Amino acid sequence: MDPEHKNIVRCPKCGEPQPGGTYNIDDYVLCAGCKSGLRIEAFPAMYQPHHDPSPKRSPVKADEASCFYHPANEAVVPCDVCGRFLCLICDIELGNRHICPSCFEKEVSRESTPELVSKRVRYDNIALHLAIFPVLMWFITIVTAPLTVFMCIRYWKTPLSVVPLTRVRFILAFFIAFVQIGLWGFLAVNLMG
Amino acid sequence: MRYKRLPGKKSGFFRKCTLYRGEDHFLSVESNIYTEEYFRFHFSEIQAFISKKTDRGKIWSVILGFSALIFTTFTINAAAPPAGGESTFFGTVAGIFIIAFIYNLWLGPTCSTWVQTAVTVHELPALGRARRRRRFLAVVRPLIEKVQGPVDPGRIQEIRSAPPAPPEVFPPADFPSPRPVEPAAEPETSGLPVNNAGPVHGIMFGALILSAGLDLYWIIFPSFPALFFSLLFTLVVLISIVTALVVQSQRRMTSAIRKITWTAMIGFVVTFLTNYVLSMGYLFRNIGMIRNGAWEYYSTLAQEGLADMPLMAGFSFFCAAFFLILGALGFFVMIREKVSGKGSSSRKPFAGKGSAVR
Repeated sequence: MDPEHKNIVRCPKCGEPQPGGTYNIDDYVLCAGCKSGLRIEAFPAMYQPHHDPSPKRSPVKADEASCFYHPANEAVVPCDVCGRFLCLICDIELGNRHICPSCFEKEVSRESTPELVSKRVRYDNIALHLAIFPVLMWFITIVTAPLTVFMCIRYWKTPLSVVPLTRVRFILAFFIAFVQIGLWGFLAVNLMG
Repeated sequence: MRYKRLPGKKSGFFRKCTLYRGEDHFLSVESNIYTEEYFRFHFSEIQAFISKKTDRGKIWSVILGFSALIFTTFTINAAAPPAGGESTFFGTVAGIFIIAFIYNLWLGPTCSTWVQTAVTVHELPALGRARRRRRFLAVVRPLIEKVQGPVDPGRIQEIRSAPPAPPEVFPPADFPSPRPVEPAAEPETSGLPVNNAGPVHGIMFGALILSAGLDLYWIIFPSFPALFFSLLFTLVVLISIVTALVVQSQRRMTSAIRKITWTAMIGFVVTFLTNYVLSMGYLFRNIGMIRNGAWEYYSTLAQEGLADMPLMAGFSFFCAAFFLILGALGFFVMIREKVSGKGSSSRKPFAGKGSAVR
């Protein structure tokens, strides 16, 4: 992290720090460095003190529960997934939940928590483009049409996106591929006939 | 978690960006058609939104307006008797460009917008128009102020160029001392020698010159072999340009070489599309030709060349000359860089997109 950019806004083009007098002005202000027109909307997080991220250690006393991963530390909260006791170092806050590093890693790999998903593959777009674009070179559709049908069936239940999405692309791709297969069948029958 | 759509959208041919509002954050969805990446920015952590005016909208206006003008001219030219299907075709294309031009004007001025938090500065491609940015902020500002509180103008004014001293941190006694915060690594571009254009770019420039020469030869002396080699070298040019673009994205090259390569790419795309459009116009006018298959069209091209297509012949001459000059310019710049042995570097203060919170 660049420590210099804390609490200061820099020009995106030249990197010149912009003084506070140029923030929250209802117009573009020229950067002193490169004369680019800049408009900066600043919020209280610019001047509020930073949350100290360093974990606090609290040694366990004789009659207290200790952390599962750090037996010398006092347990402050149980993991909401596996129930293990966690100290302040191990506690990972995810929304309203407290989970341990091990369960966090599992949730990331399973993509069971939408907040932790950073990337998804759009199989519906792949299927739709596989159905449409090969039409430009129609003879390829003998391969791509069945492939499209396979993709539509195989990935129908796969989560597509964290934002609301319908499966209309899958349906459209399936329909187009079905028509292509039908046309190939018609062509085959005609040729044999 | 339910997401609601926020104002702001960027729809490109290969890239699409949209914004959504969550409970305590907003989500930037950046899609390249086949994959989506998610960037989350919590309202409690947003320090600022930074917008910079850009000329992108004006450049698009020039391109679209010029294209509309060109195709309108083609339409008027083709409408002169004996009129055929060409005028309809060119008129349709001109109409599309005119609509796109008006739409671009309606969208308003362009800008680039970034969101700054304590750990990152991340560009929001969905807020590329000033009007969209205003509408987005009108929705998001109250949400941020609800979490962070209202802005104190006095405290904002106090922010000066020199950042405040970092807060003292007392590490636990029996934990190892934290590593000292290292100064931000210099961007990769500074202090390192510039890579001169290598063999890939040399091959590309050579292919441009050869392809231009073959095109000129085929226009003047049409024949099957000439057409075949002309088409073959067009493919070679395309492959070499794409390879050169990939190579220069991974290395630091001088601005001149990068611009020439990009100009070659854009020129190739424009040439291809325009030739395609002109060919379609010709085929519309000679509809009987395509009833016998595409082979007759290519056969006519090979034997008679562009004698029956003066517009395409003129355009092809222009493109051949353009690529000839571009290839020669590329070679000249390459040789000059090798001889002088120095290159320029342009430091970008925002080294990439940073490590956005996902």
